[in-house]
Amino acid sequence: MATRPMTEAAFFVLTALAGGPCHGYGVVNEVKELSRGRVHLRVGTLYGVLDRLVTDGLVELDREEVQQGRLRRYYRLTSSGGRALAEEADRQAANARAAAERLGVWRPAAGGAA
Amino acid sequence: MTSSLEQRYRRLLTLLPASYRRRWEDDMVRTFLECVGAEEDTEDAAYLRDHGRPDRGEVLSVLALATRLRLGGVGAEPRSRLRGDAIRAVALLGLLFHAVTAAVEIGVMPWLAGDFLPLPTPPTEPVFDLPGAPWRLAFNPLGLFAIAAFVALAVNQPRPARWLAAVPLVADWVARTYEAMFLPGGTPPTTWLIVLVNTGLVLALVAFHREAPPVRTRTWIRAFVAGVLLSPLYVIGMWTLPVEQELRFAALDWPGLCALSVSAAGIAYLVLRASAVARAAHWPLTLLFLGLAALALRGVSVADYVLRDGASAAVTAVCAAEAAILLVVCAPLAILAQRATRELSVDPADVPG
Repeated sequence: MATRPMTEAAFFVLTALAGGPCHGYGVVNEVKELSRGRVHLRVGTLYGVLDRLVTDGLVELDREEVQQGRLRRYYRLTSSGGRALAEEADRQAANARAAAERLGVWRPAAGGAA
Repeated sequence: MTSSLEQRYRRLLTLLPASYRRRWEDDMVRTFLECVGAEEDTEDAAYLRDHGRPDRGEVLSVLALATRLRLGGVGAEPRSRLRGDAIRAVALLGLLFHAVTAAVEIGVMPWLAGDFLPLPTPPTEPVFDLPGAPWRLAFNPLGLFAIAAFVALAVNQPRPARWLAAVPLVADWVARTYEAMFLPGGTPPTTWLIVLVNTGLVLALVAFHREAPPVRTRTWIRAFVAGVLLSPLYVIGMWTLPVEQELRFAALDWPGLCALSVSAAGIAYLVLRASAVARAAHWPLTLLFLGLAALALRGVSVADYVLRDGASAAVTAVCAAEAAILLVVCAPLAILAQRATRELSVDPADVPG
């Protein structure tokens, strides 16, 4: 199977689950908070990402509870999911470092276009 | 008791495949109701439960998920991948066909205008079906959009390809609606069917989602070049075959060209299917989709020729022969497509496109 690049939504879902097992609604709220309100996961998007992550073995079912007569599922990160998240975080951190280093020595051209 | 909002959301979820719904539906419903605040014990929540609907963003997210699941890409279930590959190939072949015919139309313009002296004077130019210079002026450059849409798709830029392909389609809808409303005789059923088939083609571009496998750029650009190089055969056939003009134009009109192209492709596949070139599992389904569309076009156009134009027996016979050849080619393709689908449900091996 070809390796796909990790999407921003998948990155935030894994990050949310790195904090501990969580249900769907909890993941939506966590992602909103982690992204400082920038990423608002729709339910269709969230379950598309969760389905893919479960299929790829990065996330698994933690437990099921019945609350107010409805089933609630909690999901957790697997060890592969933890590794994948760590690799992606390293990659993004390296990108950010490279940009920060360049910006440290960059000076806007004097008399450049306004 | 389930609320109206929940019922509406569950109705929306029926867009998703049944196997997916068995795994995720109840969890999705609960998360959705919590996200919109319908699970709270307040008057607003009660009102929402009775009168609320999933908003546009939610509907779009489910639509996008349904598209990805039903027209699968890399890593999808084999059946969904087969369907996705077939629809993507239909879209590519359809845009290729439009791009080649657009290139031909642009290429023959100087000849039809009498500006290309090395060639003999062209015969009577076919009548443009919409009157007036503004329509002609507006329609002449549309072929460039068809070529640009195909090239964009071939170089893996599906988003611009969708917009570029939509431009001639919208123009076609406007022109045909004008024709139907204001011109004597209205729009012939064949023309409407062509517009509908083209609409289906543009809609098929949604199959090029994020998980779709990349298009093999070199292969498809070569196919375009080959199509353009072979196009003089069509132009020569259209204008110089030693049969009556009425017969030539009917046999090689748009539905005729579609029928002959798909028949030729189908026969080539049936001959070459054991070879490496045709090993991808989606080809019978792809060619079957195209064959059925071409068959419908040819069938309706024959009826149009007979009922609207009082066509001669020879015209009817030639068009019927094209339809019959197509039908003969489609029959084994249907069997092979069914077999490929059945084999995938037994053997989950994923065959790349």
